Amino acid sequence: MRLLPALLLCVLVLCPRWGMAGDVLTVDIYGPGQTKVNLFIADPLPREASVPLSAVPENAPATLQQYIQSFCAFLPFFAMVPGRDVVGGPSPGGYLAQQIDFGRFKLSRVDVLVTAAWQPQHAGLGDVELRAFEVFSGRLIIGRGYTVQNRQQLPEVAARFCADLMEALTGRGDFFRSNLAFVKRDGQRKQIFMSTAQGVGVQQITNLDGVCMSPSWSHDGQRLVFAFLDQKGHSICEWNRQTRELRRFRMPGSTVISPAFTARGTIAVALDMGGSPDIYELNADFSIARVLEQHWGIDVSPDFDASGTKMVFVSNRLGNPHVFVKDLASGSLARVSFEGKYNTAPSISPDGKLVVYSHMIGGQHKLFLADLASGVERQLTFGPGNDEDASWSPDGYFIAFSSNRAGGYQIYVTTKHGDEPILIPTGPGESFAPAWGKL
Amino acid sequence: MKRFGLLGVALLAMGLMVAGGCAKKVSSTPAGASATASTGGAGAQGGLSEAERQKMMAIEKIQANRIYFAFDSSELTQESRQILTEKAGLLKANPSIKLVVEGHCDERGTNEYNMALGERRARAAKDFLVLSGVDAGRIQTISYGEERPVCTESNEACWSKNRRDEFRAQ
Repeated sequence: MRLLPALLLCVLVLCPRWGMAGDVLTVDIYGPGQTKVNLFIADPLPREASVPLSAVPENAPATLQQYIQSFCAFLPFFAMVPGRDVVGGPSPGGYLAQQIDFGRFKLSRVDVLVTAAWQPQHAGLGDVELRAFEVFSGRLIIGRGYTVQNRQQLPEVAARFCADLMEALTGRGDFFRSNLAFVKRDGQRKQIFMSTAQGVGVQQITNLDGVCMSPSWSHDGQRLVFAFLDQKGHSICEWNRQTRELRRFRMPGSTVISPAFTARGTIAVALDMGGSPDIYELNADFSIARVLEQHWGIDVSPDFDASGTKMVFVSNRLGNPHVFVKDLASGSLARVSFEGKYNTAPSISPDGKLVVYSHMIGGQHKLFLADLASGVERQLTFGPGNDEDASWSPDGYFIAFSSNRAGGYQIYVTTKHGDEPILIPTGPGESFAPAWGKL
Repeated sequence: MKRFGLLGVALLAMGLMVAGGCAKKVSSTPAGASATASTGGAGAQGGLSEAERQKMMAIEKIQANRIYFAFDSSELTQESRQILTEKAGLLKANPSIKLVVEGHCDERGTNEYNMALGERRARAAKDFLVLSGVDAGRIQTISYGEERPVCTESNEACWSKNRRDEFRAQ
């Protein structure tokens, strides 16, 4: 956000040739069948032929192109077209619609073409104009201009452009306007970190002498809550993003497990006060407000939909851990997971329709998705290792999770359709327990 | 078990030295002098009473044996009950000893559920000890979930060692 004043963003008026509403390229990311869009990101060009691209310092044009490439690779509805597959060569010949021979790109089956035009400036790296065209009609999908002061702003420029492009095509661009909190191992300790959802700007939040666990963002993305364990026992911590203040509270009972924010901003947490963990809602001063779920069995891992009417959680009341959903208004309870004997760590989609959780199969955890309306459960992730700690993105399309499929635990992202998981780079060392929040 | 025996003796020796206030004396003993004599001297100079020595031995015995659990279970086995019965006897005979029961899990479960399961395992041992006559106020429980494994290989032999209760007495 600090970059905002420096990042003079202006929408370009480029006389777009809007097609008929029915002709506009759109991608339904929520529907049963997901469209694939062939995307080609052209090499950057100088805005004026007389000023070479090399006049832009710090190799900024190529770096920005790489960021856009890598960010678009997170979107599974994009199929990246390599330059060698473009008939007549990869150069579009210009960055404006009237300069581009869209016929060559049609022949190359490109659906969306992205161009970049740079103009060096005396202060900062320069101005860049980014455009995305619908190749079939030649229509300008989006055009954006940015003044880039320094190299550190390049990923934010790429994220803003990708957010707008995704929004123009799908109606939602939240993926590029959200962040992840996660746990990283620090010797015997575990600390909370955060980054953008693309793994940019990784920063350490805590430096505590113990084990931080189960981070969870408030729905407005301003507060983070997590459980903490040290030599003295369990406690609950809340971190304020604006003030960066960390508050820590000891709770009644001996164990603090899986705190989570409710839709109205209160905190729910599993506490062991009567011989087995039950789920409580807390007051603002962290005193106990009310019981949300109580049973002689284990009740942990609450998670809430955006409307605040549904809570999913794990209970072993039937002998093994299974996922349940509770209607908080009526108090009615329904079992979500039926297959297998070990179903844990649920996350409910913001619209309250889908639940993703870890299902143990063949001794390993895989993500499963349950449709609450139909009751159908299906496997979402495959391959080696364990897939755990699923967390829905605020737009209800992406799912972040931790997995040791390639060795140590790292953060990956897939979608509600079970698209191929993509690694989110979070730096050296293992990473766990991603929690999605708004920027 | 052998490891714990040796560890216990080492801890007892350390305890004797610390309680006797002679740690510096031992470390500054000139070469060739007898460390045993120094330690013995500390005891003779009023370090540990017989009651304290008995308590130290009871603590060592209480801490010595862990109890183990099946996967996703907090049920006490017959062997665990025997071990806990012995611990209950020692605790009742030494009413000044306080106990922390630590519940642990293997790596296979998910973190949050394991934290709850570890608590249930610790609580199972506590409940048994209380039913055996130990004052509940003397026993605390804490769950470490899967955070403190004693064995880090990914096989059943290792996992079975991690599904355990440990006992810290003081």
